[in-house]
Amino acid sequence: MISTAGVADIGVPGVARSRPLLARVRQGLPPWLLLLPALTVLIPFFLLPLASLLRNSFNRDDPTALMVADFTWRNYVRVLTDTLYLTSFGNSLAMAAAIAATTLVLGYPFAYFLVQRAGPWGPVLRWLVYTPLIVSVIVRVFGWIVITADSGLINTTLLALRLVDEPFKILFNVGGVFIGMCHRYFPLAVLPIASAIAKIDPALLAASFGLGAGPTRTFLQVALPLSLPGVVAGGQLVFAAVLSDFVMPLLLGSTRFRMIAPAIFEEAIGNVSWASAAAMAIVMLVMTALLLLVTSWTFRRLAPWARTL
Amino acid sequence: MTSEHAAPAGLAAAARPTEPRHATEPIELQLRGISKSFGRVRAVVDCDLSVTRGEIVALLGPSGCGKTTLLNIIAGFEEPDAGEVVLRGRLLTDVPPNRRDVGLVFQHYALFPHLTVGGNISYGLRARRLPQDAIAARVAEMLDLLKLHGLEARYPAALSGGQRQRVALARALAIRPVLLLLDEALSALDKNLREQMQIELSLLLRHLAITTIIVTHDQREAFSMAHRIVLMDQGRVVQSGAPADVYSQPRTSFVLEFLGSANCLRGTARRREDGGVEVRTTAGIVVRHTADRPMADGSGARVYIRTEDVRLSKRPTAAQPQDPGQVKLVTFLGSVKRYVVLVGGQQLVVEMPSGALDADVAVGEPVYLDVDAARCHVVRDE
Repeated sequence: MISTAGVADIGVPGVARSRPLLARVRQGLPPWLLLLPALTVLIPFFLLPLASLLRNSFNRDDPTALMVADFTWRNYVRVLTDTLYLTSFGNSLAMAAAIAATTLVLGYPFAYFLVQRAGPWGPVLRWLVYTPLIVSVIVRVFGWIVITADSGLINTTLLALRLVDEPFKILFNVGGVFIGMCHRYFPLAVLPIASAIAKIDPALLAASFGLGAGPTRTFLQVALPLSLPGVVAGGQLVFAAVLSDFVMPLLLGSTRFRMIAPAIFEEAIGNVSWASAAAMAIVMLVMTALLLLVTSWTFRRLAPWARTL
Repeated sequence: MTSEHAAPAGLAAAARPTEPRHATEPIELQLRGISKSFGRVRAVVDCDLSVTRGEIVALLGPSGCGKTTLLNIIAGFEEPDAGEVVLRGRLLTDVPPNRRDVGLVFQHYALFPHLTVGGNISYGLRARRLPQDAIAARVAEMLDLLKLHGLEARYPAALSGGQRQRVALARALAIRPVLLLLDEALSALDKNLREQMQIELSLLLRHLAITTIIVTHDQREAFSMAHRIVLMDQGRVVQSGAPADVYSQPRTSFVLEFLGSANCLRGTARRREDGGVEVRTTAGIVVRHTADRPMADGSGARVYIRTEDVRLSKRPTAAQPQDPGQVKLVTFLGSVKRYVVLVGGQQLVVEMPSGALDADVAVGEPVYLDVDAARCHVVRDE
């Protein structure tokens, strides 16, 4: 007991003190039992399908026999060299970057207001942020169709005001997908930023003022850097969500701007090429994972303090 | 960490904490008629305070007495409902906190977690747009003054409590403030480290001769660091003076009860033949009263006796000629021993130096109490 206490004292004080207490609590049931409910769902419905997807990606598509068991890299070679697929990947990455950037730029001031200034309106605003998550994506898509169509709200207004001579092509174009996705993923950007801002100790802002910094410097030097973990998390969430979204591009976009998620859907359902669709999915999965890892790693290098927050 | 145990160098000749202040020093900070309410709560009520240059003043009082509100008003984080703050001849009413030249040390230090020790210390200097070399020189000076060598590149999370405390001080002092405000600055430290920092900080503040206001609820901290104690209760200044004066001449029963542990005995005042008054307490102890305020014969009175002002005796004393009390508990506290004595149905706490001859009494033994009447405080019982 004595030696354990001595070793524990070297670490973080709070952790060291709570350790014996936790150890005693744990004595009841083995801790992995807590994972069991989640694992009973995750293993059959997520991990096994993922494994079968990985296996399928090495199979061979056949016009008559659908999919033939094989072990070939051919699907990957085709997915990574064919310009049609490469353009889809490129489009999706560009769209994900644009949506992430836009939602972060729009979401940051919104989150800041929500946490710091909204006062009694905070809960109302927070609820407004949640609405896109509450309403079904299909309902929202049809809403956007009504607004962005050639004869929709935006274009009839523009035409009536004689600002344009013919309707803007928004729906079934890049613009429609962009607007719809910005709306859909706005909460994913706002919520992590808001929680990061809410975690900033007000005494730090007071300290900054007390040391002679004005509101601008205080924001740029204290509030902004301390909320960056939330910005990174929000950006990653939005980026990954845009890459995997196929409803929005399918219903609001066009085939002239192909994105990877609907392309996989088309490959699997339209062309019944399950093996190459699986390869595309795996490539996208690896790409997303790499992106998240690289951004997290870069952020930790640039902001070593963030790990201790 | 050895630096944590050493007082700042070259300060051996620094002044004692209780030395009288020169009245000739110019007034640095003046509060005139400050009042502040939060809704129905009157946090500060018509508060006046003058602090001379280089003076260390402790605002002492229980939580909710208004001391922190007063500090926030001086720093500019709160606006008073009435009254004004004048710092070195400048009226601060419309001056925002970032233009006040006041150095602040917060209770939990409020170090910027995303900046290194160096970055924290230089923060105020960068806000003032000092040239790079001047900033570097000042940071080096502060690292030197507060013995933070080698920690410049560390982040606050990697520092000990004492080191964080020193970084917070270095950061506040780096801007060369006119006034330094310490808000419960030592309360987050462990007891041993806190007492050590009290000494270190007292020496440092006297060495720098910086005008300082300490806000604390800890009497020991206030007494060990300040030239002057300003006692606050319910938003008002109750008493102000040197630690020894406030302690020996408490003006109200609040001050008495708040400062040090005192026994309170109720009794009745009796006029004596020689013109004096004595209070016969229900506990059977008689205290000759020498108060400036006259007390009517037979009126109720309360006698406050500090634990260290009572002596135990095995023989009857002037204060307790008969009916000895009984020792119920003896506790060894290091330099003193504490006795709980039951006298006339009432419990009294007595503290005597451990080595004292009379201190050798065991639980259950009968004892008489001797009280120095001059050290007792008698107030009328309303």
